This record gives sequence, structure tokens and C-alpha cells, in this order.
Amino acid sequence: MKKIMFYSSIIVIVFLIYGAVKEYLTTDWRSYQNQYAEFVEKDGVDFDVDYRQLVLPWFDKIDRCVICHVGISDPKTKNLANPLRVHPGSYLDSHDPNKFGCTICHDGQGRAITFESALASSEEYYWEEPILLSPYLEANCARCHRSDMPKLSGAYQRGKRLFIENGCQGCHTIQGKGGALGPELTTIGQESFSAKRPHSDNEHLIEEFNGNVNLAYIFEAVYQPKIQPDSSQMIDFGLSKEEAKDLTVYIKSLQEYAVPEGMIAASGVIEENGKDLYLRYCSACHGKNGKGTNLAEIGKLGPALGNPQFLAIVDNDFLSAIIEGSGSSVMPAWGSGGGLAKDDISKIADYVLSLKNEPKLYKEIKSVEGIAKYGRITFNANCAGCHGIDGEYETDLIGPTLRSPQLLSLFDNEKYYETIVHGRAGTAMPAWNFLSKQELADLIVYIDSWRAKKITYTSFVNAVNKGSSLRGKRLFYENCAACHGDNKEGGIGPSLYSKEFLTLADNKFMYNTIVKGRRNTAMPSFNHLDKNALGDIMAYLRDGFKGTTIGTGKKKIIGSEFNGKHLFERTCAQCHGKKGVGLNGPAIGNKDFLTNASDEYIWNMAAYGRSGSQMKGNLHGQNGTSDLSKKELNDIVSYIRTLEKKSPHLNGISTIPGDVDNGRIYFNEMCSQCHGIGGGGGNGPGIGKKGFLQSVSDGFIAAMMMSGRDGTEMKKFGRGGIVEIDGNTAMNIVYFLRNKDKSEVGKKYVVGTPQNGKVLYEGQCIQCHQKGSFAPDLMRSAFVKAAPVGYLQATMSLGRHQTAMQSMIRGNAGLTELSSKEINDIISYIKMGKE
Amino acid sequence: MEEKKKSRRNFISKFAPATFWGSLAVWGGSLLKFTMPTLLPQESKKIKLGMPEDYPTGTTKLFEKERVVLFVDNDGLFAISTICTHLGCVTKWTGKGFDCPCHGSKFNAQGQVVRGPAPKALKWFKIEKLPSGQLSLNLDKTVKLGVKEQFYV
Amino acid sequence: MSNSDENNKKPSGIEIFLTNLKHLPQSFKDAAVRHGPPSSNRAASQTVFSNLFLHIHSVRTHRYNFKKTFTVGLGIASAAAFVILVITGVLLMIYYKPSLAQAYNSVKDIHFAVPGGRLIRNIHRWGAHLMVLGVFLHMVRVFMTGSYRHPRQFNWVVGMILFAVTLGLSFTGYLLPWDQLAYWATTIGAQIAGSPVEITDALGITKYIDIGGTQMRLLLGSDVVGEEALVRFYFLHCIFLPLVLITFLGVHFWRIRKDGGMSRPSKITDDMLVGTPIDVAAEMAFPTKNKTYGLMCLVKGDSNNVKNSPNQTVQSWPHLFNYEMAIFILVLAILIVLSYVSDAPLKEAANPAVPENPAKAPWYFLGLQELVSYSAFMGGVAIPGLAVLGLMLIPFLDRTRNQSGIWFPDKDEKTVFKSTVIFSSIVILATLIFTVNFGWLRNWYPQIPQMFIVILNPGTVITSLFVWWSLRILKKTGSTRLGAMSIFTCFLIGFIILTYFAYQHRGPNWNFYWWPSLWPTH
Repeated sequence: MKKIMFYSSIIVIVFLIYGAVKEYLTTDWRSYQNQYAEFVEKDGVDFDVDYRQLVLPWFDKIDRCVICHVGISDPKTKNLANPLRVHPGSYLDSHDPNKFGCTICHDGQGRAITFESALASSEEYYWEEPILLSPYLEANCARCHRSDMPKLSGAYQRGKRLFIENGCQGCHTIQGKGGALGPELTTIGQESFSAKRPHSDNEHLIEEFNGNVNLAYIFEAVYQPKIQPDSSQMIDFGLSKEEAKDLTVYIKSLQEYAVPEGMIAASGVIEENGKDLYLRYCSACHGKNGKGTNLAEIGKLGPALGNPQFLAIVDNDFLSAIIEGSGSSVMPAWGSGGGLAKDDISKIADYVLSLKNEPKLYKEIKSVEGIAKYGRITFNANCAGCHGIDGEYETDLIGPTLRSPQLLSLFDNEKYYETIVHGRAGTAMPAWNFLSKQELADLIVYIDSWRAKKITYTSFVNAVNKGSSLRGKRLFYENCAACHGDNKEGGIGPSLYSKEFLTLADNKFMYNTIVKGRRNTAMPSFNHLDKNALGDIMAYLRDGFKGTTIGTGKKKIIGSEFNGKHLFERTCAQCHGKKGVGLNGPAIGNKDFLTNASDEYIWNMAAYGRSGSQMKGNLHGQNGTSDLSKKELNDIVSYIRTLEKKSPHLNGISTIPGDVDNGRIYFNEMCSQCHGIGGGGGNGPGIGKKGFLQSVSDGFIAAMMMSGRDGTEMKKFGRGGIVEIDGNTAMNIVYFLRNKDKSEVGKKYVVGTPQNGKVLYEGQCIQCHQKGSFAPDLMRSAFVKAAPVGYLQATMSLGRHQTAMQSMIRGNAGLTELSSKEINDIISYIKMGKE
Repeated sequence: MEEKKKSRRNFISKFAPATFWGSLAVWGGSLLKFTMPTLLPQESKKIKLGMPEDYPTGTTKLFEKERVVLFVDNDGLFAISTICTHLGCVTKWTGKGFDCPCHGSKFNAQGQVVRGPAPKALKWFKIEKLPSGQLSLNLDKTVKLGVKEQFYV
Repeated sequence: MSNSDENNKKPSGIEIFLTNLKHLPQSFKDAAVRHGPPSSNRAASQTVFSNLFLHIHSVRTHRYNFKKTFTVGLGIASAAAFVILVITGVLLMIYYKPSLAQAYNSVKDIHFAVPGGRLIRNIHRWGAHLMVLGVFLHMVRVFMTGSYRHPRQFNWVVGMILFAVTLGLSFTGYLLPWDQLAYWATTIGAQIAGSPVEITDALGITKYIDIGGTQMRLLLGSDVVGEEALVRFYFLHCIFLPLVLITFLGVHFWRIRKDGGMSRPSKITDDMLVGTPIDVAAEMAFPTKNKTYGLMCLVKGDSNNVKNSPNQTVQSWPHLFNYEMAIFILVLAILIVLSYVSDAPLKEAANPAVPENPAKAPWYFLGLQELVSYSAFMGGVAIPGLAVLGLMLIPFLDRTRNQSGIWFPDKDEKTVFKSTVIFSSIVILATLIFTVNFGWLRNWYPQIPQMFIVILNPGTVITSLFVWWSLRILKKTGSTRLGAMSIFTCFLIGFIILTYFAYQHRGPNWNFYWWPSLWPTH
């Protein structure tokens, strides 16, 4: 017993003393601190060898790294060996170690006081955040620099770019944003090494990454995604090793690290442009340039959004709706499930739309000689399905008849061309910019061939000389009075019963105005009237005018444009609008007007006014709106003259004042039957849609209303029409169309027979569009809700190149030859009960 | 041989209890050492003050959490602890001196005892200039009463 | 000083004071210790009964109890381990912070930054293992030597309580470092506490009586292991269970004394006492070896020393105390050496999202974990519960008064022991081989109701076979001692084999592997 007692006691004493010696005399940090103490002693500084630590309660950290690294803030130690050397770079100037500590940037086990335990670079240290070396260190900057990563973080920035451009978030969610095909990545940089680690064949990666299992796992996941079992759906992007490492740096930064509010460098959300958003969320499936991808690995097909025919018929609203909640089994609903905000979705849609080819300029087409007979073929192959064969009117056409005289007179060739290449967003009218130059030129020539033979100036003058004022009065009443007043006193158009005007307006001026019209204003060309009728109207116009027409004069007036601009804006712009775009007064900045009117004409009008209208004489002594000198009038005229060259583009711009509520009442009463609620489209075109409104001027709309479109359902609403509205009402309607709320625009409806549509659908569509088949499921409600009728009409009519979708409309040599009505039937079947 | 063995046994029997108590004493000592904290969970005792030009003559700034008042007069900057040297209560800067609420000690504006049980003047702390030009107040280092630092701007 | 008394000269007050001051050390010692140095038997006896810490011992101890092969000092070793655990545990409480945010970090600090912290923690951990092992072996020794029998039945029951409390202390201490190991072992333990829900679910009465849920919530203070559980476990580990243990330990010691000292055979011949200390004076004081005496009419039955005359005893001071001191310092030495050899584990911080794989319980629960892998209720609650209950009741069911205090007193016991070891080994190994190769009911009929498995699983099969075997022995030999012996041996062998098997051959997902080195690396 005594022996046991004795020897045990000796063992206890020996081991305890051995332990004490080991702990107090032979630890590494003591020798380092002794070394440092010796070093600073030379400078006469006292240094106590003792335990040291940085206490950082705001991070819930205690970092004892400084127990060995005693010289990190002492620049004198720059020649010593580590761990005594000063911290490299100037980081510590902005990152006070007493405030930030070490492990917030470097990771590692801050509480440890031995080298190996502090690095914790192996699982046997059971520490989830082993030390990070360059460049992986950059990942930790993002813990505080949430949206303003320093520029120096090259690997991080490159990795981030790779992350965006490969569309990783198309499958992976980060903080509620992203797809759901792959695992969430919000905290992938903090994953436990027990949960996520490289495949057992890749254990060597752990060593390669300095014992950091998390890094090794991330690297493996992006570099050799196929190696993990469970038939991972992850696509192998074929990254180079360097790229994979950069990407690893970025992915490592995906953490939810608790940092106090005040220490976050900048927490603002990074505004991303549509392109980056597209790349981030969509490019994995739809391709980087919208070319589409075939993801055989996951049995998925991302349609090519850059398909010109697709882009030709979609608008932002439709794309946004599909992105927000496609409801398809393949594409996630990015609004609810994907966590994208409405703004971001709209930006993505805009970006997708920007993938369209730039439309060819009219100038380019003009240089190509078009041939009408080929144009006719092109027309009947591409356009006739909706617009009628040879553009002639038929019932139940999808598109309006183009061959009405009024339209032809309001639209010149350029205007036709613009509509063709830009399309009408939100309607069934695609942007045809994918047609070749020759085809476009042919089309324009063909359309031009519809125009009535132009009345020449000579025949006009002859007719004027023979005109009868009596007949003219009736014709004026029918054609002109709606705007110019029953007795020429003026309405929305200027007064014509004006001595000053008639004095100045000679036959040439009248011819140019009446026969050619004034484009972009409500004054259409009256080319389609008989020349004798024009003569009669002229006779009526000049009836009762006692003076002589002296003409507009030819003298060039020279003044100061600069001065004139100021005077114009002070005096004229109130009625004529800024830059003469026209308000209550006529659009004197109009190019056609300025070509027609000479300087003298303008000067005289400005100086002496136009009796019977609001236009008063402005020359000194005329008691007009202003009191101007002759020189000042010169200045104004020379300013107005400059507007000719830069004639303001009025399409899509609201120039006239009006009353929305009044306009709404009249529109709903008279127009919505055909044009749909708020102009959303019905059997008539969707004139409330942005696409239409952007491509026409106020004048065009007003003129169309007043004159109707012969040969179509669009009746005349001016004098002699089915309903007679006055000019103000017309303007209010235009104003309403321009200024209504987006939500007021109803969905386009079509009048079709669903029963008939069902038969057709089952006969023509179901083979491909069956649920589970390769073509999209058309019956899913999210799609049906989002897809505008126009989109469906256009897709069915045109088919889609480079895909299996064939044209269905007659004349297009597609899968089948349906009439417009039949297409509408199918649409009404698809839409039935889903809206 | 037999004799030797016997004498060793005697030795062990004689000293076994002593080694027993000795080992317990050593162990007890190690346990006592265990209770002695080596690392105090205190945050850094260096306060960054900013640039010298932020402290014009006449400035008085109280650092409530750190329990120190910084003064600037014509002779320079100096910092006085507000901890009473009697029993560690926090004194109040009255504008003329420091009053301790616990046992009535009073100190003048230099921290010298004027009244009450306090045995010593209040501590003065070291103000340093960092390489970056910023000033730093080091609560780990004290200076003699009356040492004021001049930092020319 | 006596001179001044003789002179009859009244000393001045100052002189008296100075004299008293001079005698201060001696008079203080006299007041504390009221007897001379333990140089004689009388003085030694006085030392024992006048000292609070020593008086729990009898003044004289029988020489038989000093036989090294008899007790092997296991009881004292367990108690010594407990004392060391209390001391180190109290010290650890200085640095340990029982909160979710701080617990893990504070243990890291103890490991890294507290002087000697790593040593203290290691001693505490190894001490816990040693105490469980000591208590367990102590129980085996007591059973095998038949020492649970009259008059020590109640002390056996107290011993069983101490065994359970020891395991409880170990289990509650496991959670405190709040690392992965702790978190998942405790999660599993708490689920076992909740496992009666298997039965109540099968009966469809969980809505009304949820025994499992109640137990679990009582233990965790919540439905999952979290801050509430940590505080509860801290309280159980540091206050409640130690108090219970100290109380019952007191009773346990007291009963040793009151039940006539440690057990020993009724007839002890001199050759059985070779190598034990001897008190020549006592030999001479009691020449007649069969002296009997009683406490007049106060005590019924035989007195303590009736059959064992004091001539075979020695003074407890110093013989027994030296023995105790030696065991104590031996235990301490073993613990310190072990602490240098191997650190107490501290894995990564608890992560409720990532389970440990495999999440193994500490070794003494591994045998149960193997059974739990079939039915949590049967393996974790019913079988161990019945086993502990059965063990407690053994002294009341086996009331023979054979020789106690001897390992295998006759040939029968040895034979039964050997055959039982063989039988139980075969049963356990066969069951393990079968289940590893063929699986169990759930593998064959995935839709089978849980009730079937609760009733019929490897645990119940093994237990039934054990019961059958011991009943057979009981019937064949007509000896309740042999029946008890066989069932005890069965469970002992079962425990050893299952523990070994689960420790060595179970890997991730509780699959079978020959060696841990064959485990797949995730």
C-alpha cells in the first residue's frame, strides 16, 4: 500500500511540475515576445511579456493572434521575421486592430494561442473557419463591404463576374433571389465541413486548399461539378482552374455573417442594369446572348429569347408577366418564387427587347429600288393573312385594312415603313425588321402603288378657276367644317375666314396644304377627293373675300435666331407650343408648313394677326398680344425658320391640351366597342396601346377620327359621319388616349367561337402543345393570362423561325391555312374561362 | 541484498505519507493557479482622439464610458481619470474640480486632493501621437501630474 | 511558570496574557484535537471517533477486507474519482458560462487561455469515465461475491441508485461544452426520454397521456435542445445530481458500517488472511476465538461481531486510512497521466443543421444505442429500466444465506457462470450477425406498424432468451442464487459485447464496418 501511495505521489508531483514548466516557460509565444522585447529594448521601450488579446464584443470574438504577432502595428518591425513583422499594406490604418481584430478578415481560431490551433488548418482542430490565405482572403471583405467591394479585390471581382455571366442564380437562390433547381447558396461560404465536403476521390483538394474543406468543396463544385454523386444537375461550365479559383473566392463570400450595423461599410443595394440581371438569372437557360441553350443534362430547353420573330411580337408587359409568374414546370416564377422585384423584372424585359436587330433606316431602303410586283408577293405572303389579300377589306381581319384612302393620305411612305419595321408593341403587329432591305423596299413601292393618282398643281388651278361656291359649301361642311368650323370660323383648325390669311394664301400655298396635307398634324392630305371638289371648296373658301391674294412672298428675312428664340418662347410658345409643336394654336414648327410658308407669310401673320382667330397682330401699334418692333419680328421669323431643319418629332408626343374625363366618356361611348376598353384592342386595333400611340401624332389620331377609314369598319366621326363630334371632343379623346392610366387599358378581346376553336385546337395544336410534350403548355393559366391576344395572333399567324412553330395563317405556306377568324376562334378557346 | 530491500521498504513507508501530502499540496497549488485569471476580458484601452487641430485651447471633453476627462489649455493636452483614488467611485467634473459622491473627496482641476479621504491625486493618462498624425489616449500608461503634451498643428 | 504559581504571587494581567499568547499554538491544537498522537490503539481509536471525516469508519477493520483480490479497492476508487470530480468541477464553474452564446467559447478559453485549464478539464473528463467504470465494476464485484445478501440488501438498492445518478451526472455533463458531440448525443438522449410516445402513439392515446413528451419537455424545457436545456442540464449537473449523489453516498457509507462492515465469509481461517496487516495486540487480547456478546436486550439477533471475533481485526488508523489514501492518490495519478496522454474532445460548435455522423453516445451508453437503433422505447427505456429494476430486486428474490464475500464459493457457481458466458455470447453474437446480414423487420416489410417492432426487436429477443435461460437454470438447480447469477451474467456479457460492437463496428449511418479506418469519408 505504501508503495502505491509513494509512487503515485511521485508521479503526481512529477507530472504537475512538468506541466507547469511546459506551460509557463516553453511556450512559443513567450519566446516570440521575449524576442520582441529585446528588439524594442534598443529603443528604450519597456515591453511586458504577458498574455495578450483583442476583445471584440461586437463580433462576439476574442482574438489572441496578437499574443505572437505583437508587432503588427509597429512599422519598425518590417525587417523581422514573422510572426513579429508589421502587418503588410496600409490596411491597419483604416482597420484599427483594436476595433476589428484579426479573424474578421483572416478567419482562423482566434481564441487559440498556439500556431497550429490558431490556423486550425485541418479538421482535427474542429474549427469551421480555418485561416484563409490570399486570394481567398478577399471573400471576407464582403462581410462588411456589402456593396462597395474594394477595387483591389481582383479575384473576387473576376469571380463575381463569372458568377453573374454564367447565370448561376438561374438555379441557385441567394437571399431569396434566384431559381430553385440547385441548392441555396445564401450561406454556402459558412457550410460545415461535416455537411459539405469534396468527394472522397478529391480529398487531395483539401490539402491543396490548406485544409479548408469549405473552399475545397466550393472549388470542386464549380470545377468538377459532375464528381459529386446523387446525379447532380449542376452544369459543367468548363471553367479553367484559374477561373474556378476566382469563382471560389466569390462564392466563399456568400455568408450571413453577423456584423453590427455600424460596421457595415455600405449596405445599399447594388443597382444592376438589365443586362447583368439577365445574365444573372436567365442566361443559364436562355443563353448569354439570348441564343437559347439546350441543357441536355437536366432535360431542359431554354428558348432563344433573341429570336427576332419572338422579339417582334412581344412587349415589356408580356415579358414581365411571363418572368414574374410563368407557371410552367420548367421556368420558375421569378416574382413569387424567384424573389425578383417588379423593377428588376421590367429591366430584364427591357434588356431582352433590346436584343432586337436595330431596324434599318428608311434612308437605306430608299437606296434600293423596289419593285411593286414583288412587293405584292411579299405582301400577300407576309401581311395578307391579317391585312387582307392585296390589302383589301374583308370581315374579321386581324389587322386593319391598309388600303383606305384616308390612311394612304395621312401616311406617307416613310410612315408606312416605320410602322412595318417597328411594329406596334402590344398588338399583333410585329416589328418586321427581320425582312431584307429588298423585301422592305418592294413592300413600300407596292403600298405606294395603291395611292390615287396625284392631283397636279395645274389641274388644281384649273379646277379652282371653275369652282362653284355653292357646291363647295356642302363639301366644306362634310370634309373641313369639323375642324375649321361650319362657317370657316375655325375650331381645332385655324379660322379660314380671315382676310389676312386669304390675302397671303395663294393657290400654291393652298395646293400644298390641301393636296399634300400637313404631316404630323390633324390636317390630312385631301388627295383622295376629286379635283373638282377641291376646286369647289376653294371657291367657297374665297367666297366673300373682297381683296386680292398677293401671295406669300419670297423675300428672305434675316434676323437674330438667338434673340428670336427668346422672343418666341415669351410670346408665341403659349399658343404654338415650345418649338412650335402646336397647342391651342397650329403647329407652326411643322416641317410641311414651313416648307410651304415663306418668311414673308410668317412675318405678316405674326405682325398683323389673323382676324377671326386668337392670333392677334404683334407689331407695334396693332394692340396684339405683344408689342414688337419690326426687327424683333425679323428675329422671330428667322428663329421659326430654323425649326424647319430640326422639325420636332411629334410621334408619340402629346401636344394638345384636353380633358381626360371628357375624353374617356366619349371614348367609352363611341370607340371602345371596337377598340376595346381604354383602347386595349378588340376587333378594331388597340389604339390605346403604347406601341400605337408612340408611332403616331395627335393629328393623325384626330384626323382618322374625323375622316374615318373608307373600306373598313372605321367610320367617319366628323361631319356627315355616323356620329358627328366636334373638334374639341376629338382632341379630348386624343388627350384621353395619351394620358390615361395604364391600368385603364383593357385586355384585347377577340370575338370568336370557342366551340369552333376547340375543334381547331384539337386538330392543329394539341399534337405539339400537349402537356408534357416538347412545346409549351398553352393551357397553363399563368401563360394564358400573361399572353396578349396580339401575341397569340401574331405567333399563330407567323410561326417562329428556327423553332418547330409553323405559320398557321392562309397564304403563309405553313402547317395549315387558317383564316383570321379561325385563329380568333382558337384564341377564344384558349382564353375561355381563364381571364 | 535482503537488507537493502528492507531499508528501501522502510524508506518508502516512512516517506509515503509525506509524498502523499506533498503531491496534494502541489495539486492544490495548480488548482489555485487555475483560479487566477490571466486574460482580462477588457476592450482595448486606447482611445483614438482624431487630429490635434480638433482640440483648440479651452476644450474639455468627457469620455463617460472610459471615465476620463480631456483638457486643453495653453500648455497643451492632458487627460485626468475620473476614478476616485479612495475606493473607485466615479467622480463628477464640476467645471472647477472633481467631486466624489461616495465619501466626499474633492479634487481640484489638476486632480489634486482638496478634501476628504482620498489618499492620492487623480491619475493622469498619456496622450500619444500616432504615425498617422492622429492623437491617441492610452489608458494603460499614466504620466506624472502636470505633464501636458504639446502637439503643434 | 509553575515557579511563579508556587511563589503564590499573583501574576499581572499582562503576564497572563503573554503566557496565553505563548501557549496559543498548543492550546489551539488541544482544542481541535482532544487526544494525543495516535501512538496507542486507544489514541488511534479516539482519533477515529472524534473526527467528523473519519468517524464514518469503524475503529477496527477486519483483516479479510484488506485482501487485495477481494474488493480491489473499487468502491474507494469510485469515491476518490467523485471527490476529484467535485473539486475540478467546482473549479471549472469559475470559467464556464452556461449560455448558448458563451458556453462553447468559454470551454475554448478553458482549453487555451486558462492556466492549467486544459489539465483540469481533462482530469474532469477522465475522472467521469473512471468513476462510471469504477462504479460498474464495483457493482459486478459485489454481485459476484454475493455481497448483496442479508443484511446488505438495502445498501445494494442504494448502490443501484448511486449507479443511476452517476450515469445521470455523466449524461448531463456531456451537453455543457455545447459542441457537436454534446448537442447530438443530448438530442438523441432526449429523444429516448421521449420514446414512450411510440407506445402511446400505437395505442392512440398520445393526445390524452403523453408520457414521452412530458418527460422530454421536463428534461429540455422545450421541444429541442437549446438554451433552456443547457440551463437545466447545468443545474442538474452542478447542483441537483451532486447533492443527490452526496446524500446517497453518505447513506451508502453509513450502511456499510451499520451492516457489519464489508462482507466476508462466516468462517475465516488464518490461511485466508495471508498478506493482510496483523494486530498482535488484538490477537493476544482475545484468546478465545468464539466469544459472543450482545448489547443486552436492545438488539435482536446476532451482533456485528458475533461470528468474527475481534482477533482478526486491525486498527482502522492507520491501516485502512493508508489504504484509502493510496487508492486516492493512485486514482489521481492515473487521471493526471491520462490527461497528458489525451485531451478531452471538443468538436466544432453545435450546429443544429448538421448532425454528427455517426453520432455516438459515450461508451457506457453505446450498448443501449445499439438496441435503440431498432426501437427507441424498448432499447432506451423499457429494457434498461427493467434491468435496473431487476437488479434492485435481486437481493429480495434471492434470499439464500450462503457464503458471501467470496468469489465463486462453490463449483456450481463456477459452472453456471461459465455456461452462461458461453450461452449469452452465442445469443448476442448470433443476433448481431443476423441483423447485420439480413436486417430486421423494417427492412423486409417497410409498412409494418411500429408496434410490431416495439414488441419484436433484437433487444426483446435477446432479453427473452436471457430470461428463458435463467428460468431454466433456476428450475434445474433449484437455486435462486444461481438463477440470479445467470441473468446477471447474461446482461453483463450482453453489455460488454454490445458496447464493444457499437464502439468498434458501427460507422456512419450506423452501418456495419470492420474497422473505423474503413469508414467512408462522407
